[in-house]
Amino acid sequence: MLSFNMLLAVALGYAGLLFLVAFLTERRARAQRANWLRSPTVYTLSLSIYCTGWTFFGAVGYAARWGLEFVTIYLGPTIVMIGWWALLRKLVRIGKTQRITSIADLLSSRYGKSALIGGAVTILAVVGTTPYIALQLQSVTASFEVFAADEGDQVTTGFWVAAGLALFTILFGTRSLDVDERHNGVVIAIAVEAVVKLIALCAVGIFVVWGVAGGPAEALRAIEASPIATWEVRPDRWITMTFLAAAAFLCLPRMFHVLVVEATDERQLAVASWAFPAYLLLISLFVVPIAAVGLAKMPETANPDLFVITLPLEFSQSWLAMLSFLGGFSAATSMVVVASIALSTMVSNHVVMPLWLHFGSTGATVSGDVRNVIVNSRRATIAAVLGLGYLYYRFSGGGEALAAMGLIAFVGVAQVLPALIGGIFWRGSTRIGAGLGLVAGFALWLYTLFLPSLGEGVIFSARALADGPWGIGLLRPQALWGFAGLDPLVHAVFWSLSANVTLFFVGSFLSFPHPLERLQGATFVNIFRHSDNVRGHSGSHAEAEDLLVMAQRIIGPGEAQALFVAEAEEQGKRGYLPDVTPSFLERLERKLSGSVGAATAHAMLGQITGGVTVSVEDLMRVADETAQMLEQRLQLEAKSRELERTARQLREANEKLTQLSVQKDAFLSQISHELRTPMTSIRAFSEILGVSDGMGKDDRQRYAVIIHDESLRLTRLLDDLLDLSVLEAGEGSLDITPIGLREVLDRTVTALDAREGAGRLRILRRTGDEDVALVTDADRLVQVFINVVANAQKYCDVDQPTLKIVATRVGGEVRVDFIDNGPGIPADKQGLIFEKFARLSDTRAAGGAGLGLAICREIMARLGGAIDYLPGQGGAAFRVTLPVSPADQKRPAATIS
Amino acid sequence: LPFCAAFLFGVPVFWKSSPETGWGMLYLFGAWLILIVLAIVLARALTRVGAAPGPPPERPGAP
Repeated sequence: MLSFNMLLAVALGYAGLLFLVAFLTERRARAQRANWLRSPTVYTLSLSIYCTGWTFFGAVGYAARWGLEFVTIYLGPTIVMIGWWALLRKLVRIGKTQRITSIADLLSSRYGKSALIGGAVTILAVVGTTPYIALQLQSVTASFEVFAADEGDQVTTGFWVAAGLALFTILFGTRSLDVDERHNGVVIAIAVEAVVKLIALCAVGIFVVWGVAGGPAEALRAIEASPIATWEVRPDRWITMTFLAAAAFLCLPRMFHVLVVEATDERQLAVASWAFPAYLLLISLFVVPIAAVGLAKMPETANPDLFVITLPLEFSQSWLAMLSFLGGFSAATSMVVVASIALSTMVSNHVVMPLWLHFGSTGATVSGDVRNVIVNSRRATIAAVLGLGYLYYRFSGGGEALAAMGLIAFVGVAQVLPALIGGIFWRGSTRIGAGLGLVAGFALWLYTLFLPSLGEGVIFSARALADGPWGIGLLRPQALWGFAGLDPLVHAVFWSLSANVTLFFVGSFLSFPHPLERLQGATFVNIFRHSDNVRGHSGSHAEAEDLLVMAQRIIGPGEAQALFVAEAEEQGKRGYLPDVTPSFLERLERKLSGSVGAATAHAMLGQITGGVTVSVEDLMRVADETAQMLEQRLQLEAKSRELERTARQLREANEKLTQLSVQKDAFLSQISHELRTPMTSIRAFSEILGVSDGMGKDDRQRYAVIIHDESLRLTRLLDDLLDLSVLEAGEGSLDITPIGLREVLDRTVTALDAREGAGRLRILRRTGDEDVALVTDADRLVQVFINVVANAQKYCDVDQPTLKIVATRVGGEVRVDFIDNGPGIPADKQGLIFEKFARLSDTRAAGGAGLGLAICREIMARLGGAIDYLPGQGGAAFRVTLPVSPADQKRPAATIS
Repeated sequence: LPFCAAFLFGVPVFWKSSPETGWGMLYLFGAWLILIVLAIVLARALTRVGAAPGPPPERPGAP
């Protein structure tokens, strides 16, 4: 049997050899002399990082316990590789064009450069990978224990293994910082390890089948004779585990790292699509025979997980056991190295740097400062990740089957799947949906699988596990909502992924992505159309003049020209058009971003420069958003204007109501006065007549006349009021008949001649112009004319009062002007004469109540005409306008003769 | 091919009582092998359709 010291020396020598290979590879890669690094074979072998200590040791143990079910762990990735080559190609294309450094970076970038999504995925990945790290520690520790059972306890060995792996990973993975996070040396080391572990497992398998069992037929018989033959398929576990393995293959940080980040050429995938499944087939081929023969040949107390070492040792094949140990060591170390590198990149980029920039970036103006922060944070992360793995290993007891730990990790990282697949195939997915799904899935994974896996008493007590926290049965971690009887793994997958997917879709449907998120969504979903030159604008074919025209439209001519002139001067060029360099385009984009937003500016420049970062369709979507915003603004402005108009109308209506109220008060006051005056006279003279018996006949007769006149005046006033009321209410019928204007005027003059004192006013008419046919209510029109002429009789107090009546036909109407030679109406009173009770002189002298012109205005409105005062005619002048008879309208308009 | 693979690998779900484990192994590994052969054929066809090539080959000694 090999001594522990020799084993340690071999392990250290092997690690040193790997380090040397990695170092030399890095050196050749820097010297640009490592084209073979890009070969599909190296890429395929690097994918073998999927096969960890769990595969090397755990698969045999799994087969010994649960038969062929172990193979589902390899069927999942096989389905992905041979079936979803297009999906992998899309991921690689996204990774290359977007310079993705990790799965957290991809999701953060997809969901609008969301720091929260990046941080959440990082935390989930760290916690989800912890059981996996613990699994590697346990496998290496257990394999050490096989050779050196007396050299110390497992916990101490586990600690030193973790410390050694941390040191090894720090030396491997943080020696340099690459922009694209590719580690050529690490990839080659993994490829070497892949070959070693495949050869080791196959060597043990060949030895067991031909050396121990006696050939394939005997091996098959051994299988049928072993407890493995009693294995029965459990459909729920079979489907769940195949799905989980497929999901984990895509979502495990280390797998994403080698699949996407380390990929150099999409054509590598074409070979890997069949070569990697072939690798998985080969590495699984001897698992069941080794398990069956191990169960038959080894003591019952032997750990099936270690059959690959203990079987050769049992048959005194020390060097084969050593090779097997190195195979397992390779599988574990390669996983730990790559997983730690991937996680340290995620933690430094998505947790440490954002926090450092937020809290402590004030003095960090030197690039070296940032580099030191990144390198140190990655080293600390590697140590922390291995420390967490060690703690999990210690608290979970370390005695559990390796497969159980691996499956717990699988379920954890599978929570990233909905956000990942949704993000690259569905433009409608949003960071709200992705975030909600991730948080819910992660929380349920912790509750239903991770925490219970730590064992009773660590987090959950035995009672809490059996009866639920606080005795609430519905909250039992492994029978949530009463779903008892399910396998714990299937139970956890069902609840965590159901909640994850549901919230992902609900959150995405109910939230609206911001422009950058939409642009990133369009770019990711249509990556094959948008994959050229996504970042920056190098290789632009744009003309500076086109850019200037666009810039002028966005930031204004003055500012745009100043920017271009400054750039041209900086380039040492005359004029205002600089060369279109990538740096200038970046400056221009930043400038435009201030006005139209970063996404739109980038999209617009991308269109002009020909670096097609977004399609026309995407650009149109951005434009649609802008148009929608503009439309909404216009609608708001229209509503605002409408509100202003309504407010103005209300204000006017209020003013009018106030005015009407004032008028009503004035009217009531006036009407009271007008009614009271004659009534007072009538009452006074009636009383005198009633009590004065000795009154003379003349006096009685005089008083009776006064009473009679006042009664008439009262009646006239009431008639006028009634008339006005009817006209204003639009009531009362009109007697519309054809009649000539001359006839109407003749009737007016005749009626006035019969009145007392009419003869004093001389009326001048041009009867020749009055030959106009009308269709109107003649009586009403005569009433208007009489009123106007009577006013002239009353108020034209010159020696020889004269009234000119002039008719003029203009178009379809006739204007009849009444102009006297009196003093006229003062300008300040001209606006009042058509109001009720408006009188310009003493009431009694005028002999009216002041309702005449108000009635005239209402009558003319009913007749379809108007009456207006004509200022500047010397005396008082009124113009009555009337529509001419339709039959008369065909006649040419007459002019003033 | 993905559905074909999923179906072939899902067949054990329909085994009401498991066949002999040896025969079960033969079935699964046989199906696996057939799918790998199909993937080789498909990968050649897809490569011709046009995966984007990687960066141009590096010249020895280039800066």
